[in-house]
Amino acid sequence: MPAETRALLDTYKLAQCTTRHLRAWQTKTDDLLVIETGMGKLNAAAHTAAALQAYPNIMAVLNIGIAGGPYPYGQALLAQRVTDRASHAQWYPHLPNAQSFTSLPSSVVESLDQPDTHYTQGIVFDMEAAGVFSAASHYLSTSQVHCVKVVSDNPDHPIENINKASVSQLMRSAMSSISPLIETLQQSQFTQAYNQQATISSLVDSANTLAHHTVNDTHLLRDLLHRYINIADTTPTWPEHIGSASQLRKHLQQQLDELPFIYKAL
Amino acid sequence: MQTVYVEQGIRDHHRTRDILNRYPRARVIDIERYGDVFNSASQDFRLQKSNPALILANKPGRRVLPTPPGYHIGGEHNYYFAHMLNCVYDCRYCFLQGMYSSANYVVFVNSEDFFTDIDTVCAEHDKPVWFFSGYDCDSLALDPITGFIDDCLNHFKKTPQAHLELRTKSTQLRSIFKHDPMPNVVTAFSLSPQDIVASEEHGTPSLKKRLSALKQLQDAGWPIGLRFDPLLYCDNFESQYGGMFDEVFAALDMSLVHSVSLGVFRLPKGFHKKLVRLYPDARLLSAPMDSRNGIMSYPCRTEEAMRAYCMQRLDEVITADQLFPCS
Ligand code: SF4
Repeated sequence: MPAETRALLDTYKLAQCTTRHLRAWQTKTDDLLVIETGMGKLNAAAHTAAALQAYPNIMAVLNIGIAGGPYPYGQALLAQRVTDRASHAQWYPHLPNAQSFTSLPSSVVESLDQPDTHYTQGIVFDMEAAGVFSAASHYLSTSQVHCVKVVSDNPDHPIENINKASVSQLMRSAMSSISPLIETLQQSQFTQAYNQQATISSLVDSANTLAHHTVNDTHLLRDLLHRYINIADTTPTWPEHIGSASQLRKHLQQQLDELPFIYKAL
Repeated sequence: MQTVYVEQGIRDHHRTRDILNRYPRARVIDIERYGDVFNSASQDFRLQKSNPALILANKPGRRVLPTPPGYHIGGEHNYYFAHMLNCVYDCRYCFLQGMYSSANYVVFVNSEDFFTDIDTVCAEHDKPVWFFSGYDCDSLALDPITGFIDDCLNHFKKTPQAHLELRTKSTQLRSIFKHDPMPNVVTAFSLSPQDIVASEEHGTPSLKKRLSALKQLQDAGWPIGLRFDPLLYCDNFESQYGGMFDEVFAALDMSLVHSVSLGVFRLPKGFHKKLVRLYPDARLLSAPMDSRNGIMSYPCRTEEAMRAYCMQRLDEVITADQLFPCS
């Protein structure tokens, strides 16, 4: 197991879960999933995409790892920009206002295909962040994908000295900076709109038990349900007997037409 | 403001320095061009809106553009400019949410270039030219930070053939009151009934506060404008808007109002779709609407009834040459 993972597993008491193609661990309450991406951008992208496919409810991703740059050894740094040196692609994570984020210094994280020790002010080098961002940004927004790197090599700590024990030690020491980031992302308001989606999905499921719905029927029903819930501020009730998806929609539309649409003092 | 992006090219601009001095604790991130951040892919407007970053930039290219047809308050030549993009308020109907993928604020620090362009456009016309500043932002809301209005009024003072409309919901009038009233500058407030302000215009000053700001301007001799746009449908439309008109007519001398405009809620279809995706839980977007010529609005009859009611109320207090219905 890569040394980066151990500190997280111990801190959060994670248990291994059985997910195809992924080495993954999660908490009992399912609010944190750790995956190992392996080395390099391609591995990082493939494993991130696989995790987001396997767990569609993931609301935020934090890429954690080591990087080299002209910063103090062991310093935890947030990514203010992630760049892929090979393709020149770049991502700007939208940094939250929470103290856990604002109190950490930040830097550009440049992902390379090969290690590099030509350290440049304002930049740290890693090999995975761009892979994580390129995959995750297909599923999540720039507010939901972040990266924190712990400085493992710099002009005073040569890259050759990196080994499992030193990385493990670095990550353990950095957990006091990394844990608050994880907690902030867990508490974020990413779920607001998601809650209504979940309600609507369960209503659609129950509608499907009453009448068969094609993809188009489901789409039209979802639209009506959104409107109903927004105007009525409650969920509709289904009739006991319904013949088809279109009859169900007609029933819902009738209820919708009868709802008052008014503004009143809050 | 916790994060400020700064284009490298304007890092030493005096306005950049002034603005950065206001945020000594902000994380300042150098960027090459504002579009790299502002237009980047996979942004979530709704999530960003809760903690927008500030982007300080230089506005290159064409800074002053002709307004869309029908966007005027009586002038023959009409242009708009945006010294900043986006807004501190969060109106659920705002078309900026459909237009931009980012909720970050962009402030262009090269104000002088805007003024040069305004002069150039003025020189192209014999008749007075109107410039609208609140098209891609609220003209005043972020002024304590940008300081743009003070410079702008100083410029318009020197160019009386250029007319300026400041459109706002903000009651930050300090930079206006630094100057004596100018006949070529109209401060126009967007007004809605208070229950709509509270439900749909998040973070904006109340109707009462806006009316009090308008009254202060009117009393001081500044031309003022009233913008009843967008009118939002509700079953109790007449009691909502009727109540608002009563308050407006009681607070202001309507005969002295420079211009009144009126427009029913409308959005390009693509923008509307984007808003529904961003805010599936928005009540306003769940009202019955039709698509006509690529524009989403209320059914024709609803729209006509809304407009007719407002026109009838306004007819009581203003003359035809004060009124500008929006199309
Ligand atoms: S005040 Fe105007 S620009 Fe600002 S959010 Fe509201 S509608 Fe948009």
